[in-house]
Amino acid sequence: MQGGESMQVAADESIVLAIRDLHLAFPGLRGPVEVLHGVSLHVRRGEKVALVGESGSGKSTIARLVLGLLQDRGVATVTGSLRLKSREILGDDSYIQRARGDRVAMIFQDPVSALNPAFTVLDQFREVLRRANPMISTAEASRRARAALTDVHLHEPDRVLASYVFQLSGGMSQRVMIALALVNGPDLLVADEPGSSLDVTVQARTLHLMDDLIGRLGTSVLFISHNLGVVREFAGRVYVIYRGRIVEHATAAQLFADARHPYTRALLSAIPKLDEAHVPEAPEQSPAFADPLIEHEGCREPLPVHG
Amino acid sequence: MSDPLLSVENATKRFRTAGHEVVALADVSLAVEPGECHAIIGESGSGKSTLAGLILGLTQPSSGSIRFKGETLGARRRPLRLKRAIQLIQQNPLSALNGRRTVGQSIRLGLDVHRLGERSRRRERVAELLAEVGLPADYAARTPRGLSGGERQRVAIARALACEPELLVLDEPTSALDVLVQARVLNLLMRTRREHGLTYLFITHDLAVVRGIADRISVFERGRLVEAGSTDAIFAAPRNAYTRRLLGAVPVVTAEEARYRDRFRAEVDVEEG
Repeated sequence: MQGGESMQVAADESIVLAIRDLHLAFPGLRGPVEVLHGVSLHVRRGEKVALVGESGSGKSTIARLVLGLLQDRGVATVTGSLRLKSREILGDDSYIQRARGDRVAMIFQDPVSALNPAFTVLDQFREVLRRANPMISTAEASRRARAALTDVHLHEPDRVLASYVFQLSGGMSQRVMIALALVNGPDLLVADEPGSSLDVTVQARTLHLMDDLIGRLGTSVLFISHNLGVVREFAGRVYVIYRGRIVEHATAAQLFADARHPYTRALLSAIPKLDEAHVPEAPEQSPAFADPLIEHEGCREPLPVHG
Repeated sequence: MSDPLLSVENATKRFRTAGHEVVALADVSLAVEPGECHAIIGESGSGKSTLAGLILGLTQPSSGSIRFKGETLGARRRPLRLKRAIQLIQQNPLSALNGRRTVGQSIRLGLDVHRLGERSRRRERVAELLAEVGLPADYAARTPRGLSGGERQRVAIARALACEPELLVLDEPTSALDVLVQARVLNLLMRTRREHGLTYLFITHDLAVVRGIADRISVFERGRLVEAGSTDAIFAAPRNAYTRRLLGAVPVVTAEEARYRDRFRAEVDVEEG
């Protein structure tokens, strides 16, 4: 961490999340196994940035590192830099634990297991609201919780607040999770495959609603997904990750009109299309999938990547 | 039209849970023609998996009947030859395969139970089946846990093929797979159907997959069959409001696809429901 560079980061206040040359390795039988090979990405204020890849690409590992939730963090070797509003958080577990739920929030794929089954929705709102304001009164917490549920179009907020998760439908639980994540107005929302466990019609409604709320709050989003169709609808800018390396970086418009990396092109061609009456040809695994990063016009990382 | 391979006639299935009755399937009739790929489309709660359970004999209809090649599939124990003729491929092959058996043992079980081929040739037959689904012969000695999701689904397909079935019931067979793996498994399924003259009942929520594989479609909503027809006809002009709503909600990746999809995309309703 050179002093000059951190000054630069501090100067660019529009950057909410900056990941630089992130390497992560776990101990293996024959020495360390590296799962992230120098990942760099950034999210600016109010931006919706997608990190898209298949299972095993490392995308969820990155989400967990940002949230300080990586299991086995103790045995892993992490190098590089991970800054939240220019504050280095890699290795600062106490900061990220304080920030989580307040400055950084998350939405998971499966709302039912992400919410605590032993507490009512209201209990969980109180807990989250106290992270931002430990002195908040019970009446004020209830008022804020009710308003947050109304924001996600849940029409009987009092009934929902008194409910346990198992009493809610999947779509309602997802809305509760979105409301909880955004109630403290976080700087960054990490959304890991939101809605992918829901039916398509419910998923479309949920994403639309989340998009609307994020737009009003001006929240920055890191959107983790395997579904390029969802990414196309939701994200402004996209990083494609393959086996722990970013291989393509483009705006969503650039990526879907003109994908350039062999891996991205293979992914796009393998997706069944609504307007094509045949099964897509299956692209073979290719060494070209590991070709170097392709950055589209205007999509440079704002700082030189060191290492 | 030839006699259907499978016909479902006025099938209704009611469940009783927590004191109230749920109608999982309401007076459904459909026919699956020999050699076709018939897609059953619906979201959770549509009754599509209940229908699969009835066809496989896992549950019995509350009323109505199911016939396979004209023979009513009754409440009594299903004869072995019918069990052999109708095979299932599930969404999650890890839970579908017995983790304590090797891949070879799982595939061979069908050969032994149904006494297919000579005993002395069965080991060879297992290797042939593995080759057919694109796996090396030495996979016979491995266990499902050591395989990738795509490889496990290939094993499940080989195990079903071992029984020399006539009808495959495929319940979301590629929904849990990554997109590149899904494309390979879909191609394998299509080739297998062609080469063995199989009939598929393909249950899925994924309309883009359906467009590529199905000859005919039945759309289910809350236990009711709301629209049925050829894939070409339904994609050209879906009549049912729910079918149109499903089409309008599909996330797409190309501009042409978006143009098609947006014909059915009303204002996305953010209201709960």
